[in-house]
Amino acid sequence: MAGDPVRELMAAHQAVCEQACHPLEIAAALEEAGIGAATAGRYRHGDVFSLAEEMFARVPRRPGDGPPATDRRLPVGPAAPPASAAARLKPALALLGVLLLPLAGAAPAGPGGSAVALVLAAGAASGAARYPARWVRHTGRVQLRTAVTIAEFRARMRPVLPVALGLYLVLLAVTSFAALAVLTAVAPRPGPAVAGGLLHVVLQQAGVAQWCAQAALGLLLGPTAVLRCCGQGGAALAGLLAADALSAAGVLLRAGGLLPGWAVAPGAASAYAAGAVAAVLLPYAWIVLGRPGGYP
Amino acid sequence: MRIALLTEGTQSYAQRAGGWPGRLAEGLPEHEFQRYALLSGPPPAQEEPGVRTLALRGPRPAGRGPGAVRRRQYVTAYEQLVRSLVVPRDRASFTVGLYRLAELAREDGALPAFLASGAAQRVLEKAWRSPGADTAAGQPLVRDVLVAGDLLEQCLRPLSAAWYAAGPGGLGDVDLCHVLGGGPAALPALLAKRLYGVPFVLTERGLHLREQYLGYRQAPYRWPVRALLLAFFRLLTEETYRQAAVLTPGSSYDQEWQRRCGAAPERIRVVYEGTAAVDRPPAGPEPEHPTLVWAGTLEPGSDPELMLHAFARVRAELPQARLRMYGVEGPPGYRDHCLAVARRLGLSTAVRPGQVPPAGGEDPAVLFAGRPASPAEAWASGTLVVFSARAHRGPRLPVDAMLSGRAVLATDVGVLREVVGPAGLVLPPGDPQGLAVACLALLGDEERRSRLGLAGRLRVQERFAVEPAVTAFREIYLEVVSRWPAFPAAVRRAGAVPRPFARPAEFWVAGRSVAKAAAAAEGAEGPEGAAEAAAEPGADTESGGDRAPAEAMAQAL
Repeated sequence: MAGDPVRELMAAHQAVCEQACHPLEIAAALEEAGIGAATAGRYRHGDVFSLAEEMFARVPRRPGDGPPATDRRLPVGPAAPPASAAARLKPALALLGVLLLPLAGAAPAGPGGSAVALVLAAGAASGAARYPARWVRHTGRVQLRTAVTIAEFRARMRPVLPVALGLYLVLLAVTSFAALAVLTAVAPRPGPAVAGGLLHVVLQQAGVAQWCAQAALGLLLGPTAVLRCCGQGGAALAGLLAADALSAAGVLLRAGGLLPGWAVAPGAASAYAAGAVAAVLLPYAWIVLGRPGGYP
Repeated sequence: MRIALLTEGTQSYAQRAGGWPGRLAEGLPEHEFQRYALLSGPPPAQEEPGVRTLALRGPRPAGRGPGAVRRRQYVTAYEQLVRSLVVPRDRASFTVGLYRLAELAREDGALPAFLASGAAQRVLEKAWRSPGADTAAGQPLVRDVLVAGDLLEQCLRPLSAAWYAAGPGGLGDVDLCHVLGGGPAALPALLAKRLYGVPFVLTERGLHLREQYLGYRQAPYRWPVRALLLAFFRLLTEETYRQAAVLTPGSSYDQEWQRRCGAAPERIRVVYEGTAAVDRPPAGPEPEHPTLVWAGTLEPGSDPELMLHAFARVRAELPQARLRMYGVEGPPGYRDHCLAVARRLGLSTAVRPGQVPPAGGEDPAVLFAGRPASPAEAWASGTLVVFSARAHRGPRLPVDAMLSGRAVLATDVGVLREVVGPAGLVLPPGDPQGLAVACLALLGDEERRSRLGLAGRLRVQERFAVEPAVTAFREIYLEVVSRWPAFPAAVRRAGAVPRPFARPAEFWVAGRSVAKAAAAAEGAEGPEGAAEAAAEPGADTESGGDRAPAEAMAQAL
């Protein structure tokens, strides 16, 4: 004590000194602990500031424990309006439009049973799309907590969207297959029985174009759900509305007889509409998900 | 004069109508006050007329980011700002970056959107991870980049406020800015000075920088974020102190800090915050039993434990002594800790928030009385008032206690020595024996007690009344405008050389209405007045109709 009075003080305020980012911070902490101008003389200093400077210089900085586990949520986006009923209704209506519009112009004799079954399957799968979307958001948040640099974060997030979309497409395929299987059981196709078992029969229920349309729909609904989950509801709604508009245009063209022959097959128009929008929406979602700011 | 009052606070203006800015505007009716409030809480339900507000917290204001070309300019300026915060050898580029960002934000208002964009995040990360950056106690992670960018965006919101205009209602149209509080609240004043040459007075009640240093220790941020934000506040404070025409800290204790942060001593005037309570009558007769009153937040900083230890010794000598502890609980569970300490010391305790105990009867020795109905009531319930704090930064509470006319004992920390002065006993902190001896000495000497109480009451009535504060600001305003050479209204023309002392101080006090009246009176006086005005040589009269009343006023003087 007699030789080095500050040593004792440094030991008492070790944590503060190790974590301080400026001598003034130590000075504030010392004053808070009752060491003012009057007591600084005991440590051979004129005021608490020079005492704090000595302590700052003598104690090396050391990484601390970090903040408590409950990390602060960032208000990243601009002022978000409260989710009213109308705000929730709009995406739902747009989604219904995407699903139902292809049926409207399916065929002069009304939509076939397979088309209805596929729409029902897509509707069920669109409800389940929020699970892969939540998984993407959760992964993003976890990586955000642990990644060191933005580049590293982007690299870690790169496979997440393809994996989520792949899982979603598998889910969609399974529901579609189940719907068609039920259709096969309820209303078997007229004509001679086809050899090849149930799988073959069910696959034959829908044409190639219909399967393609279903896949395109999956590629549209998947990123839409992900974007909505990650605070980009506006982009998701815009994508759905664009798909609506394209489908409606297809229906009108078909009604006017202006469609070329190759687009008349059931499901073709729908495949083009959903596929075109998905081709834009997928890269956008890819870019958004690579940004560290995209996980509120 | 037209004075812009810039405030920062959690409450809306309406809730603080009787507060300090209101009293200032009331006390100086000869000036026009335009109020600008930075709100750190939720925005008020209804906008008060005449107050322009800006939310400092909460979600970012909507708006588009800058285009590709302008974004490059934003990036350059932001990089300068950020590098000055994290690279110690680049400290000097802080003001360059800050003012450049302000200029860009004023032109297109795209600053908030830019600061939230990926480009800003990349700039921040690059600067933070560049060689030479100070990351002694921790490297920044991605989440630190996000959090720090978000906090910087909030701090820089005043830069994109729509207040900077030379026309009516803008900060360019006022003669003087008065900043109440530091930090981001001073940003508009800094810009007004840079853009329009408007000088500003800085009044700080509780230093912003010191509060940040204390507050950020509890904040849930990692070290790099804390270091970056505190560097921002420190550099901003230094720049504010450099640019302020006059600084008026609320105590000499704060003055020391301001000098430490680079304020020139000759520009600092201590102005004590006036309180309207000085007219309150002194407390009535002393209670029946010798009673000590302790007041303050129940937290380690105000050290109620020291009081309890000292009181145990007092009680050993004087068994009928009582202790009343007023104040709400700071950290949760701290009151229970104090109760446990009191029980360990063998004192009977009770907790009765919001009640003054009935006189006499079966009082416990120590009563935790919570928040009193009125401060006067709390002081009146005691024989002595004791402040046992280890740190005391605001003068309000001891001033109020001394107004009651009760003798005050205080530890020698922070602002207490200055407030209590010779009109009370000042003791070293953390010494229960000394405190107990002092309490016993005063409890046993009624004559000395009443003498100290009266001296204390007179002392604060003289120093902490509203009138001296208002008078001080009246003089400070005059001093500032009279000494400010590049005064905007005098030198609006390009190429004009600013003339110091071009106007007597009183010129600005009169304001527009008086000047107009004087001009009208002069016009009515007859041809010689008009002839005189016309005969005035060149430079001043040619600057147009706006100047005529001012000239008339100068002549009238």
